[in-house]
Amino acid sequence: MLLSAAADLRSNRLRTVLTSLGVLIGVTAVVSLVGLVTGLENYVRSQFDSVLGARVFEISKFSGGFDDLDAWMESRSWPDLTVEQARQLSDLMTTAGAVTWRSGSGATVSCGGRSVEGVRIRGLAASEIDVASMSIDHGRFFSEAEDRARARVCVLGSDLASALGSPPGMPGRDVVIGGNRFTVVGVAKPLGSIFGHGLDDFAAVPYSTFEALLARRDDNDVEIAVLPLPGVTVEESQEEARLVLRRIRGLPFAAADNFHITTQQGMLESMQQVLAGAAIVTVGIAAISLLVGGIGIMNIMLVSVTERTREIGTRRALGARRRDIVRQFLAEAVIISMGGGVLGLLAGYGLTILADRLTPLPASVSPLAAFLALGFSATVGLLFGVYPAWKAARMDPVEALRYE
Amino acid sequence: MDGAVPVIEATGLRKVYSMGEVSVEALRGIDFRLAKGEFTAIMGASGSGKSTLLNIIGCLDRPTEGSYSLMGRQVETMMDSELAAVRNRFIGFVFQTFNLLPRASAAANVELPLVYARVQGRERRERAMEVLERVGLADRADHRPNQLSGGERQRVAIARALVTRPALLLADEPTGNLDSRTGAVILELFRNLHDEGNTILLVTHDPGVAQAAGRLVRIRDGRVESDTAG
Repeated sequence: MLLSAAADLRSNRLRTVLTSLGVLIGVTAVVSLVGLVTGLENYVRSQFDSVLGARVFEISKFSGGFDDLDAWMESRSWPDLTVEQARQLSDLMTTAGAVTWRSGSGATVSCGGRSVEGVRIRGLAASEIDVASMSIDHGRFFSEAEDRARARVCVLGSDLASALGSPPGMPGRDVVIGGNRFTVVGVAKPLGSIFGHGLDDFAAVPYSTFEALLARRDDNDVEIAVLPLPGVTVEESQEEARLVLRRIRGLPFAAADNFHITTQQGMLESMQQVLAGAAIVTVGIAAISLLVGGIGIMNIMLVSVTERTREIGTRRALGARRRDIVRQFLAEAVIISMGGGVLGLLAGYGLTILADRLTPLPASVSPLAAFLALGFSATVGLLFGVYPAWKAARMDPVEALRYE
Repeated sequence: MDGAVPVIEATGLRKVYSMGEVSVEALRGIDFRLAKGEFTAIMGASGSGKSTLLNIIGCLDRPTEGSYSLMGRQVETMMDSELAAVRNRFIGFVFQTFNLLPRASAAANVELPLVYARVQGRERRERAMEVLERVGLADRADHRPNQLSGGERQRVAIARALVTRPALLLADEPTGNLDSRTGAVILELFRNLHDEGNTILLVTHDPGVAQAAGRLVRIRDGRVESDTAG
């Protein structure tokens, strides 16, 4: 039955190919889009892993995720997180392996004849190095003593170091940051980039020095980062930080938190919400294109049934039951549809590989996506083949044999 | 011959087509009997009802009234799928326009009834080759209909009708689309098949063709006008 259906289709090759084009394009779109979304998700995950460190969580006035305007306005009305609170938190927490605090601004950095404008200036506690979000390639990080003494030392990001001289050559040299002379003590290991945004163009100075010389005048707000002790879960440590910080900030029992805690997990989740939206769009496109493809198949199958009226009559005379005729035309519809599905899968796979090569996204086609694509195309063939097949089977054999 | 079950036993066949208000009576009470091994021709002008009779005998249609048994089986009350099985098992159709599947080889065309009889692969192929040999076209088995002459096509169609070893060969104007010389070859083939014991019912409006049969039934206005041994 399938073989004879395939033989009929082969002899009408052009029409068969054109008919399956709808499904082909639909499946191509689905497979490549799903591949891209999967790639995007892998990419996001790898970026978070490489840049943030999986267990570090951050506390700040403003949410690190995606907030609406109202939430942002409310955050703005909260009191700043101060260095003092950060220090207290560091002293009081029992589950924290390291607590650090950060602030930032922008300034021009120059060295010798070279000068870079709009450099990210980071005011960092000496404990930054313990949180493991930064490591040093050349030289060293600044010490807590230097922080307390407001020493004019700095650590440069690798891109900035390259712009001003050579990274290995920078330690020991003097640079001017925002009009103040600093001595370079180290160059950080490259962090790479997140979402195409370079992370190695900064100059880091001890927090106290930053506060005295480089901070924006009205900005006392810091971001706190906590690395839980080994053996303590992120959730446990996060909960302790929350309770301790509430006490430090003197929040009444019934009041809501007036700070945000952002975990990598939380950021991944909010990213995944965005990606889920993209997936829904993908499914929508898939549904529409498969619908269009299905209608195309139905259309051609109806034409084919009419053209082959006499063949249907002959087959009935030779002993085909109605259900044999139904089976024959359904088989044809499914073959057309699956053919489009297979070609679409190959085309989508090709596009995904192309995207993988040409973009930073590690795009890939999962076996599940491939399986679904084929399953859906077969289903489309079945669904849209039913009516033409039923029409063929319903024909009166006498009329069908007389059909010119 | 009388002791055996007749191939066809039909009594009081009536067929009324109603198209809205108007109803047309195509058959007005036909009694017809065909014994095993007979070669009978049915003649009649167009509109005489012979096509309707042929459709009922071929189990493609049911009579409005009357009873029809084919090989002792009461046919007029059968369901659609049972009729399909009866056509497949007992009847071999030969059409005026051959009705071969254009995209299938001669052998595949001949195999088609066996597909519906659920005969599988190798046996199917062997039986198809056997009947193609019988009609002298074994060497054309892999040709498509458009690579065959009209006479060859009809011989393929006859092979297709024979492949199920049917109780009745039902031929509707089998020479109508052929030139007279080719037609004569086909008629000769029918005569030989008759000699080999096949039961043949042939519908025609050509008196020359009708002469080939041993018995001639004339239909007129939905009734049997005459029934004579030739």
